[in-house]
Amino acid sequence: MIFDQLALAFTPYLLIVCLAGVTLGILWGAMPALSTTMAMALLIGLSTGMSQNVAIMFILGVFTGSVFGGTITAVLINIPGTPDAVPTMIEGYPLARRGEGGLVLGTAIGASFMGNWIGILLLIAFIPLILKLALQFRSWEMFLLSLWGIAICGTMAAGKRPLKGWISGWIGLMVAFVGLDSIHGVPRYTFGYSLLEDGISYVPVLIGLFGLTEILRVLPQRNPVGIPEQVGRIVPPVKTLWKHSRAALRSGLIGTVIGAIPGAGANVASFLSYDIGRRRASPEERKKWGTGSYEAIVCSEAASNANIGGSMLPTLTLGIPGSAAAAAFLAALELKNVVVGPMMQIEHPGLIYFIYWALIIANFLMYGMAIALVKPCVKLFSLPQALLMPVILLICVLGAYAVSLSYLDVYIMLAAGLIGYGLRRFGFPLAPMVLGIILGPLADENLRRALVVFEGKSIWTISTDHPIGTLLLVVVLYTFYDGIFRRR
Amino acid sequence: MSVEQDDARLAQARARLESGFTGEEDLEGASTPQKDFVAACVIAAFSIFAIVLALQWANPGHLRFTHPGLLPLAVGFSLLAMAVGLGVKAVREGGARNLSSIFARTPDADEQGYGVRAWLLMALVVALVILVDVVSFRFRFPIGGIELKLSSFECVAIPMVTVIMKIFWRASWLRCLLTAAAAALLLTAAFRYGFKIPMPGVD
Repeated sequence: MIFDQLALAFTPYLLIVCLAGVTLGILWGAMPALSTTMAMALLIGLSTGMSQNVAIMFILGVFTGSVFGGTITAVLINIPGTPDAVPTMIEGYPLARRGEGGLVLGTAIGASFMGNWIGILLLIAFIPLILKLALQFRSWEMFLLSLWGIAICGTMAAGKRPLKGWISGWIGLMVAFVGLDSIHGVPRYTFGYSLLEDGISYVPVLIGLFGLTEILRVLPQRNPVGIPEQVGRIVPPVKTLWKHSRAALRSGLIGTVIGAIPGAGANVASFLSYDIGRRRASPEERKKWGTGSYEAIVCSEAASNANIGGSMLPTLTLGIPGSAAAAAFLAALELKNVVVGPMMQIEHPGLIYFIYWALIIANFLMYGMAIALVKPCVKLFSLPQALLMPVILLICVLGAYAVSLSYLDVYIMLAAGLIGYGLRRFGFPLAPMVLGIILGPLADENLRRALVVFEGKSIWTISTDHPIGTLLLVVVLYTFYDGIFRRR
Repeated sequence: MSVEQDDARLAQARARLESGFTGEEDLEGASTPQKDFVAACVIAAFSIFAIVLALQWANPGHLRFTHPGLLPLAVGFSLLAMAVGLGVKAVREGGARNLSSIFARTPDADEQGYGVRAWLLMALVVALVILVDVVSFRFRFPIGGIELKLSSFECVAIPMVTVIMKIFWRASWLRCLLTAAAAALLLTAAFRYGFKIPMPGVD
């Protein structure tokens, strides 16, 4: 089956689609203020007109390309295209000023390629294990898992103020309750509007939160456009990469693990591996950190790219997105009637292998296209945001409408965008809200089922009958305890 | 950008890294005690409203564990508790005083302009979405065996995007109009003919 899926993924048409996705992703990521999440959110609407395999190849191509794309601006104009490229900017820009821009970008491309491989290999290694474990989950475990997903996402997204992350997630849960209740069909929070009885789809909310909110945030800013440093010849230096291969391996592992935690994405992965890398660097190398270290660039790039594979792990096995971008991928799959989670291998045999191959192909294409596209990208830096953002606004409107050809979704997208902008201005993260909306129905249905099953049983019997559930309950309580009481 | 500006940006990024874990969305700078206090009040009111509604729902199953309001109530009460927690923390940090600072004008001229531009943009976006919904018509004209369509979406989108571009891009009206028209027509063609997705309204 693995090779059947390889043959399927290797058809010329799908390869061209993936190449187009990677190219678009690199160009998107290279433009300041256009994030990976925004690209992914906008693609959901476009993917409605694509077949399942085309949509997967295209979206994963964009995902892989855009994570790398942010590096180009970070190194050449001192503006991180994506937030995870900040450590690369700190190290890469001073080197580019010294005329080593080509070498820096070559190193970053090589490290990104390695990081992607580590993420993909760990994904392939751990998926069977987690799927096997996930099949043991019953209602109680699924409820606790959903709750933990939202809680940890809140903690990871909000940093020093986890309470704000949890509030955002809880608001998402409230939004998820809108519509007919799944057990009795009682209308909840519909205010008598029959249109709301189907519930609020999370797809237009996602487009609003990560598309429109970003437009409202970025377009009124007046950022001066930088002048790119000299690029030079871009060749990934094998010797430099080999020298820092241990750092790349370590950072790749960190990136994958961080990616698997809901809410923690490329940003946390890149910062954490940069920090750990600095502590573990040799005294001679450590002196260079902060002023232009190739090892630091390897750490940051390997981690942020390994994050892609890591974020797919909970997304595909449990249906809990590992990052906001993975949530968009989940939404695109759902529009193709693919329900991810423990039953994925049974309900969609072979699809998981297709996703592996799509990631591998996208990684190879990213390597080639990154080398080819750096110089043309330099010209893109002069494109003003005020030219791009209004066009993206139209994509938001059309994308939200395309999901179910209902204009109500456009109004939901608009409301989500305005609320998202307000929440960001008040310091609330948005990813937990999306997770709350995605996991709300799962949590609601499973809690009620579990409580019916538990009726008449003692707490001791419940905890011994459900050891995984008990362990998850401890993890959930610890997540809240840690968020409230730990010293910051 | 000058070398000084570049150095300042690098120093800012280094300081951010030194400050420790700031979370995936890095919103540390957006929080003030005053903002947190106002947010806590709004969220508390929202959660009380949600709780009151949830208490009114019928329970057709007559089993308390399958009550449709079970989780909404639990979420509502815990959200209220979180809002109280946020509010108390904000008050301790002085958030109940000087509330007008949220809306106060900053001495930074660029920051002042940002606020006005942001409100203006929001109004334009709302107007665009409502107009696309309200205005509804289409033209069809066959050219060389292919039926080309022009719907109300393009007719609303082109002038609205032109205005947005004029305000924020500040190029000439003609340049904005041509760019907006090219972008809108290319996008609608991609959606309509490429992805086979009809335009909003009559298509």
